Amino acid sequence: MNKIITKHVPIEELSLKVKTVNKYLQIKQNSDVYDDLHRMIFDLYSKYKPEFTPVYQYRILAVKSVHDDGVKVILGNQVRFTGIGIHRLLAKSKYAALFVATIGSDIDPIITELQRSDLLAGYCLEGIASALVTSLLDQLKQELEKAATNQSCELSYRYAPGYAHWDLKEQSNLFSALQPEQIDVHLTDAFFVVPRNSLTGVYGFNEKTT
Amino acid sequence: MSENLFGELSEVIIAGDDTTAAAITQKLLDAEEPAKKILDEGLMPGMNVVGKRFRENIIFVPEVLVSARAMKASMSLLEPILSASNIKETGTIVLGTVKGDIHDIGKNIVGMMMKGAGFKVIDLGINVPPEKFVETARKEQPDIIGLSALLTTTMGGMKTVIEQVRNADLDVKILVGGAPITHEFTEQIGADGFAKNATDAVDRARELIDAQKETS
Repeated sequence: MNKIITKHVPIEELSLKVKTVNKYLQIKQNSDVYDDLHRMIFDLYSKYKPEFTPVYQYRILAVKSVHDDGVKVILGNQVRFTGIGIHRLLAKSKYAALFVATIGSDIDPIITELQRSDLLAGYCLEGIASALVTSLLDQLKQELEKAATNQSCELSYRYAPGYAHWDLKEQSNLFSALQPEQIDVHLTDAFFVVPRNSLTGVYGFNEKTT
Repeated sequence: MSENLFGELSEVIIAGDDTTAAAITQKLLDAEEPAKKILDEGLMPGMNVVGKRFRENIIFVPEVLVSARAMKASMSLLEPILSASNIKETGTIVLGTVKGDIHDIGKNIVGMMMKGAGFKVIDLGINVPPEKFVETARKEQPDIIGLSALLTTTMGGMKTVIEQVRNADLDVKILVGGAPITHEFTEQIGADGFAKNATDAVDRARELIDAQKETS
């Protein structure tokens, strides 16, 4: 608890799920170009696989105080969040897991360049990257589920700055509680997370109800 | 024979067959058909059908991009001829994602659809400062500036661009788009138009240019 954990995940351990790729790219199974697109996706993934460098970082903190005002939450000794949504998420939580997960920064310029020369290929590669970061999050979630079970808890739903009732600007508080720069993840002045295919958020550890 | 080929070209654009699209285009050029006619009667009718199907949710972004790739294969043969013959484009649009915003896929799709509709597109990329829009508009004299933003934290940047363009007294229309943009916001910031997706952007751009022609 309280320690910042960083884990690099070999790309071979992530599965590229067809269903997720289809969802991100809006590919319908009855599309006339379904097979062509999936051939392209397979080729792109084979070609650019070494450019993906998945890594996640998380920290589990005790929920110290959930204010009666309905918005303020204090984690550990110094992490403060404000928002109706995060307050609702952690109102009954014993711990909170804060995380950043990314597919790496090497792929971003490749996607940008590809979108200039071949928009379709660039679009497909962006979808691959989005699906892979989702797959990475699945791995992180499994690890957090184990940690929650060890505390006789279960994991809540995932929530993040920018979702309904939680201001995107709260990303800066989440970033302050971790060390995302160690895994080359940064926040822009407009609170965008860079690299683009990165996810941040919070899970609550809620005591199991019998 | 050529007349059938125009229809066939439209069909292969709709189907997204880039190899056949290039082959038919070359055949038409070999038959001494004018490049402008190939664009107007072969490629654009095909892309218009694609745009209509997209608007009606019959097809989605991937199918549009597949068709656009076929269009690009044809255009690579036509563009040198069109440029050399100084044929006027539908219009000129300067595109960019506003300062602070790093998302570009939506803007890129808009650019591609604009090219497919015969526009000259000057793409300034992402995270573009307002001064760059003004400088480019002054130099290139476009009909339209198209501004893109993905999040509420960056959409405010559109207002700054509009203020600077108006202060520079440039005769250019401003079209805005992106996930958080609404009609209300468009009016608030004084933009000339709002597009909810790429094909809508082409329609709005055409409307703005037609309205401009009527008043001039």
